[in-house]
Amino acid sequence: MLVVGPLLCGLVLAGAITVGWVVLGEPVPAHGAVWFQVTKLGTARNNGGPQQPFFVLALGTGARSDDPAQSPDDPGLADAVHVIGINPGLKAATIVDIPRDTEGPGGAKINSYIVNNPGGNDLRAEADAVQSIVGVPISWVIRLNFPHFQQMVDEIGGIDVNIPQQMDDDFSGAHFAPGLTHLNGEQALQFSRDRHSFSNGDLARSHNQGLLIISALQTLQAKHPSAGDTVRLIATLGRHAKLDNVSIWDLFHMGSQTLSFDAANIKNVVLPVGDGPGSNLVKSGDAAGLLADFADDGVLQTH
Amino acid sequence: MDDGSPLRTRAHDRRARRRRLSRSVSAVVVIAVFAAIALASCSGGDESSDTKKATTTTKAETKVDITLGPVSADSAGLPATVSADQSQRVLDAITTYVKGALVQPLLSGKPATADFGGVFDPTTLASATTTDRAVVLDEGLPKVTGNLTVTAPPVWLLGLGDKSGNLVLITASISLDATGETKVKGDPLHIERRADLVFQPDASGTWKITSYDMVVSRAGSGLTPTTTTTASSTTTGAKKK
Repeated sequence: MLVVGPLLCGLVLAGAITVGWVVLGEPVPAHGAVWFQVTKLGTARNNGGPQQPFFVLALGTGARSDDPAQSPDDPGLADAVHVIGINPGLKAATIVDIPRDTEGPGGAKINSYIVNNPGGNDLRAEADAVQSIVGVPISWVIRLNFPHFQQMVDEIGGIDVNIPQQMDDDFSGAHFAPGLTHLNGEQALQFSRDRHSFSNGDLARSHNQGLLIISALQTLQAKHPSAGDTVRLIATLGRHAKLDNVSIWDLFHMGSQTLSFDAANIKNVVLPVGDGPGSNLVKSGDAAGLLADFADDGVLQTH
Repeated sequence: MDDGSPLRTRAHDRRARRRRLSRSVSAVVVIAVFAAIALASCSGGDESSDTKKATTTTKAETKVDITLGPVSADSAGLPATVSADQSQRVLDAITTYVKGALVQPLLSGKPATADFGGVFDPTTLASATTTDRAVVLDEGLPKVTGNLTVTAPPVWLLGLGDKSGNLVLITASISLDATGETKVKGDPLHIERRADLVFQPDASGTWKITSYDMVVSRAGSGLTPTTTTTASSTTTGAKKK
């Protein structure tokens, strides 16, 4: 009886299933339905970098070589001066472009402190001067010169820039039509050097340099870089940039953070300046309000 | 010689009937034996029955198969390398994470109890076990009672060296695929997890995760919609009536 009971039960069950399968066919979920299946999807990112707002000074100099003796045309004046406020919590940043003729402490132009400190820490001297104008603590300094800038842009595959207006300048070599344009290293340098195509000269140039930084970020983001890709990018930047107070580790985390920012959350503004002594420019207009807005959390909310 | 005589024909018919009967009886016996064995093995019969004693039980297996893939390094200056020992330490940390975050909670059906202090640095551990817990750990899922298999393509490692060529970090890209049988009827539990992990040595030289970028998807019968506090989480599902 121990075998007959399950035998009969099994035969009846198997027969019922078989008859049902033959008569009704294979069970198929109704159109658009699934059979009790739930899918969960979650993502998480923790990039380990600073969590508080911080400020980075990005400098571009006109030096044609790492060796000053090989750069007679330009000792390495910082003609591109940008203070970048980064707020990891807000995933936002602001670039304040400082025109090169802005007057620094002691009356010198802001582009010159980097070369007026022979034997000292040139990057720190420049940062201290910029800090006195902007009023924020600059933690990190990154500097590129002409050849390294070009090589770096080429190594990352170029930059897609939405060029705001027609540019024709034989001094820099910039000849570009408005619109989205892919720039190689040489062209990116031409774009960021041109000040003759604009009525407001260096102010528009400074703004374009900030635009190039944001465009570079967007170009890299479009490639959806993995952590490994970020390693390669940072290695490239590290090979070409001179750094002060920035370790490669810091650079990696800063890069990882900013690569996750929506470019729409990055503002690019030129420090309001007006005529000062001689050919110097001094802060004007609402510069004080703008810098106060910038200093509190690294990003502009009301400007 | 007359081979078609009536006597000879009757004898032939008797032998044929006996052969047919013998074959029929044999077939019935064989079918009955097979049916009895098959059904008795799947029946919920008396624990003390002889047939229950005759069944065999297959023990559930857990397999975790994570191996090392290509290892390389880039540098901001002098060339950097990732040594075999460093690679192995990173792989060991990943394996520890997988066992503690995935295998243990799934097999126990309870929250993860592993000490991840040797895998994550303190700051990252705080995020991993709070804000991102629902992504980083496989908790609150149906208990795996059958086989659990965790496989992954070979793990790629890429190191970053500073200007002096000193190795400052190692990134690891992993893509885990876990399948486990649960008691819930329907599809087995299936988890896919892709992660970029960044390792840095702590003061004692232990390579620990200092950042992560992780995406996980979980599918299978019996998963209940959950609300998570992670950066991004969606839940969908339907039940056929």
